[in-house]
Amino acid sequence: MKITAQQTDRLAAIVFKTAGWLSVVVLLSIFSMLLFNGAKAFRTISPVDFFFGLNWNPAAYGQPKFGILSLIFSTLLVTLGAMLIAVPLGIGTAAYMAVFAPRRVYRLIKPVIELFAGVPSVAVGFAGITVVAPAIAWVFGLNNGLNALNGAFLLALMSLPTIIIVAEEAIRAVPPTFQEASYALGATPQKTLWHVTLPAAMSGILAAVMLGMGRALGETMTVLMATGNASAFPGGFFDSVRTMTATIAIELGETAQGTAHYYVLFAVGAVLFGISLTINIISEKIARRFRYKI
Amino acid sequence: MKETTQSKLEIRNLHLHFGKKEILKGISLHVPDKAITALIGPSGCGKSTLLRSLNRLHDLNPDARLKGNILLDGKSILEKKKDVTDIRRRIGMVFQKPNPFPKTIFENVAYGLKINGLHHTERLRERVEHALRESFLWEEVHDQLDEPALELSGGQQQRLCIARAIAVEPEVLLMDEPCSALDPISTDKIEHLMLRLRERFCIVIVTHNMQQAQRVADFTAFMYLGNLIEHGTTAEIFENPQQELTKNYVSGNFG
Repeated sequence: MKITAQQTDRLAAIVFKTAGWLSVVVLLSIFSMLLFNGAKAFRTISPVDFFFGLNWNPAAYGQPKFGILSLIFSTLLVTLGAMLIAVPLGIGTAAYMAVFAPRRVYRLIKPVIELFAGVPSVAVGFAGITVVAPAIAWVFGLNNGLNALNGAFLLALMSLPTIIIVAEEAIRAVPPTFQEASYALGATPQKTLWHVTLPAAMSGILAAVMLGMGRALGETMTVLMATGNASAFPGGFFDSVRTMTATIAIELGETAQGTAHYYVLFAVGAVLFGISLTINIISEKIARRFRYKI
Repeated sequence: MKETTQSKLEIRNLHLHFGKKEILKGISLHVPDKAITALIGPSGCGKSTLLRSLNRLHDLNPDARLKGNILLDGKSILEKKKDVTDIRRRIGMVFQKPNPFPKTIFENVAYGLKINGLHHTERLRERVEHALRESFLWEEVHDQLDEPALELSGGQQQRLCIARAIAVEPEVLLMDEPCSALDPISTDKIEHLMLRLRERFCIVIVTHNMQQAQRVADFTAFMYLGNLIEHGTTAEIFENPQQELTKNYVSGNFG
């Protein structure tokens, strides 16, 4: 029996369509699993206590507290802190690599950065405990450096390779004719970068930032090791924090299945998922605007 | 020739290497002010490369090495310590493919003014309008200045690029095959525009199109394999070329 070109065509279409739909189905099942299990938590816990409660203390005898706000605030504190460090540094490095770096320097730093992307998070956490935290404690005169700042610093390090690599690609993708036009008008390399190249690369740079942010938001091991794990509501960068991811990782294995505590951890996961999704949607909107508007 | 004394640009024995390869092999040429000089020649003869030497765009390429000299109003523009941004402001350029920035129409024209330190809103608006009028584009775009420039047609985009270049009031305008990506009607508009701009600028145009050279250029220089073969008034080059090679090229025997 001979297979015609038409038949292979049809087969290929089916294979790719299945692959595409499969990823959608997997994504939706994860989200519905989180929602379904998370919803069960609200049979015993009031949603108001969960969404607006400041305290997280689910194992307390008699009076367990299931307030997610301290976890959300910890996560946002560490993530935004990381982005404050990593975004300017990452975009700056990417611009240097794409535009200014001499070939020899470029060939040196590019593989180092790519290598850095592959460092396991547990190793970063280890460095956080033994090196960065004592350094922070020393610099700011604290008893203990295991705090939100430590986490932000480490997450910045971890999201930097992603941001640099993707942003560099975006900057390189800007047609050189834009830059030439700018130079031909008498612009300096700095002005060209700032007013032409970076704006033209903006949608790709935003994607880089969002990927880096996703990395920081979802990172578990490093923050679990290096932020002190205090579930009290943090007052600032020098307080110990416990992020949503760390909480799930620490508590899920030690909680009896079927209890309110067990289910509420799924609800935390669903909220985290929702936050990532919102950030992605917003960034997609912004990126699209930049693509057509600037 | 009599323009020698008042040439705007003077190229003296210019050699250019990319790495080990010699692209320009000792070019000498006088470019007069308030006239259009066309550079013609077959692909790869170095005419675009020569054009891009005139505003030092090869500085961006670490492999490029220039020898010889280029004088603007009698002063060298190739000295390393010379401010290259000032040279490029005085010698504007229009590229082969229209390349407006991904900004609004207004911002495209205002860009060169802003980077040169003009930020006064009212003055900017006047200068942008003036440049757009001079490029015969004002009537078409005056009510859509805040629209993205990339939504204009190809011919409009190229006229916008001309407006952008002349907004900073350069003395020389370099045009690298400005019509090669355009249809005949847009080409006609741009040629018309060039003839107007000739009254104020020294224009150097690279073109593949020999009819275009004959229509717009006062002087024509024929290049071949990195050498300048012959240079004269356009009539001389096309009707009475002195060199066999020039004669063959302008009569269409190769190219």
